[in-house]
Amino acid sequence: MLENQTELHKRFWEIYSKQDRAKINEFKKYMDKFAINFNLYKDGNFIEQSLPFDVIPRIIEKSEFNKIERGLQQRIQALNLFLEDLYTDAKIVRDGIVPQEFIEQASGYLKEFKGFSPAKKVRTHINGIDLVKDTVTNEWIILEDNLRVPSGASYPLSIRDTYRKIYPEFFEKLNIEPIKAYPSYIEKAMNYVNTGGINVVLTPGRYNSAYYEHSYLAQEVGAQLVRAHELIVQDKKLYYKNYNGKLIRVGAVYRRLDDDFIDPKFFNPESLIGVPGIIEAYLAGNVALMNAVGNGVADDKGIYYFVPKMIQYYLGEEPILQNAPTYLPYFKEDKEYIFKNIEKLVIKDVAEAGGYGVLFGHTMSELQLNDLRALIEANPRRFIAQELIEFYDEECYFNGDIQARKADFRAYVVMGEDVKVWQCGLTRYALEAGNYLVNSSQGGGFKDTWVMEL
Amino acid sequence: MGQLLTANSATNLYWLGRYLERINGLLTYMMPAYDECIDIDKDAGKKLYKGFSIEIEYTNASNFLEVAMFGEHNSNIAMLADHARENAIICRSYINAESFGEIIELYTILQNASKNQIEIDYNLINHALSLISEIWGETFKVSKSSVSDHFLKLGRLIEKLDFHLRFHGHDEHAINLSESISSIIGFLSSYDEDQQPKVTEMTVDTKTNIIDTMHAQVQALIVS
Repeated sequence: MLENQTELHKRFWEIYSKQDRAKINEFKKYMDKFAINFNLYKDGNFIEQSLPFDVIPRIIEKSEFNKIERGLQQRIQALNLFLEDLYTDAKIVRDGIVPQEFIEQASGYLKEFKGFSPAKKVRTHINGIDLVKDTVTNEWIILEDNLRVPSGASYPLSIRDTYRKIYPEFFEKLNIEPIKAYPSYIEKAMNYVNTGGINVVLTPGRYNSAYYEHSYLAQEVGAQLVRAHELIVQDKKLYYKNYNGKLIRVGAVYRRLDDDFIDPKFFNPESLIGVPGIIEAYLAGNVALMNAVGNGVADDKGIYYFVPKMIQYYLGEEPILQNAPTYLPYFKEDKEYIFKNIEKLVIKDVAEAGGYGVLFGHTMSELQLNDLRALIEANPRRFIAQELIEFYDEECYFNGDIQARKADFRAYVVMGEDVKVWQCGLTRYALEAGNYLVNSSQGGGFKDTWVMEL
Repeated sequence: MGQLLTANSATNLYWLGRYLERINGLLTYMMPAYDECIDIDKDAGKKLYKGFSIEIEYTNASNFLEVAMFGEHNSNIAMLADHARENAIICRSYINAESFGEIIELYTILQNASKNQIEIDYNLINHALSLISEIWGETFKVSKSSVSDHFLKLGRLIEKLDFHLRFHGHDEHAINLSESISSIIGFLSSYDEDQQPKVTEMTVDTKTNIIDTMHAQVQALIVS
């Protein structure tokens, strides 16, 4: 039994002990049967596979989750204000809170969008914020903000339905928050920013790693699932091409592709998955794109460092949730600290995501650490360093045995007229003991997350 | 506003209907041929497949099933199930969840059988046929069909007609099927989401190229 167990955990284990363990296999069968996949490309091959699922849920007490909820609402409000400010007046730069150089060197910053304000000034519509619970402070710590195209919500949504069928007793006897509202949050946010027309989910296509999620969310949100060539721009307006040739105006696009690919006329001309002219329609205010173009600057791990300052600057409040202690080699003092303590720090490439570009000092040789120091010296803006957070393990079921694994938590925050935090999330765990990388693209599995009260 | 559907989804639904019905038809016709191969007419399987313009060779009744189902020809059932699965994945947001699950299961058992992980016998055929019945049952259990259901049904009926014409000729049943197909084509060609649907009478070519004609009509329905 792990140390962070509460009365709620005890109640879970009591019910668990009476359940038929053989039924655990039903989850895998269900995921295979309904092709609940997270696909991967490995060595040039397209591999369709279901995400590993663990039957032991992460349990978060409702009172504890309330604090997470308030903290995330605060953070997303501040980040939305930051992006709006940055692309319009840039007061935060003029006031010296975030260095100009930091903005200009952020790969996600798109200066071409300077002066443009999207529908209802909402930019951070659908967000995935990665957190861990620190064993030292016993507090939830923010590790990363994903304000571009965060994925993963469909997996706990799908599995919860199955869980209720396979093991109904948990839901009869425990007070677990329902989670079905998430698609309605997205639908409401889409309707709020919609500029007139239907809602669509734009997918790169069937061979994208998260195609299942695109399809599932489109269905649940009541939006049309489309690929680029099923949309057309005419007179700076976006249209959906119905099978019979009729054009239907589109008012909001939940796009599941990155800025670089969304419009070959504006960004990467070789993109085959983008809609030519969609940016022109967007800039004319004729369609809402969710999330807004240019949000990548806020995903930049270098900018993450400044989020607590943004909360103070825009909201006049102290951050409810803290960042992991972070150092920027861009600042001289921080660089000296990093170079002295590199073997105990985590070094991250600011522009990478999905667990890529993360180096753990304690696993590297002296030669490798020296090479890393040289890389940082040559390009200090490219890296951040963080203290290694010893976050709580979660118990996982492996072939009849319960074992501890590192697990993080991705919370989903949807912003429309107001900011909604989903009473669930994606708990991702590492398959190997001691591994800190839990990302799905790194082979991690997922758990259901139960927000509960006694 | 009525149901919207992209050309890609319409095409995939149509072909999903065709592939599922093709598997259904092949397995349905295969069973009596298998029975005859045992002790009545060893060449019954060859005669059946000649109807599909496919030459096959086999040593006995059991081998007929293996060759018919998984031989190197364009009616290989594992390949057809693979196509059906692809169609289903692409347009899954328009398919009943249970039907989708049954399609994946059908694909899985046929793939396993093609790799000799499941015995190829009448049990396999019965299992596959019952899955297809469940797929159609789940799909059409609602009283009011949507546009997407119509494309699926269109594919199914055109394939049904194809089988019927090959083995029974242009009889009364074929005429009934043709009329049903024309009715759906009429509905889809005049469908406007803001108005009540209008069914258009269409003349069906009764010569040998009925299927090609109907397929062309479907293609004309879908504006890419």
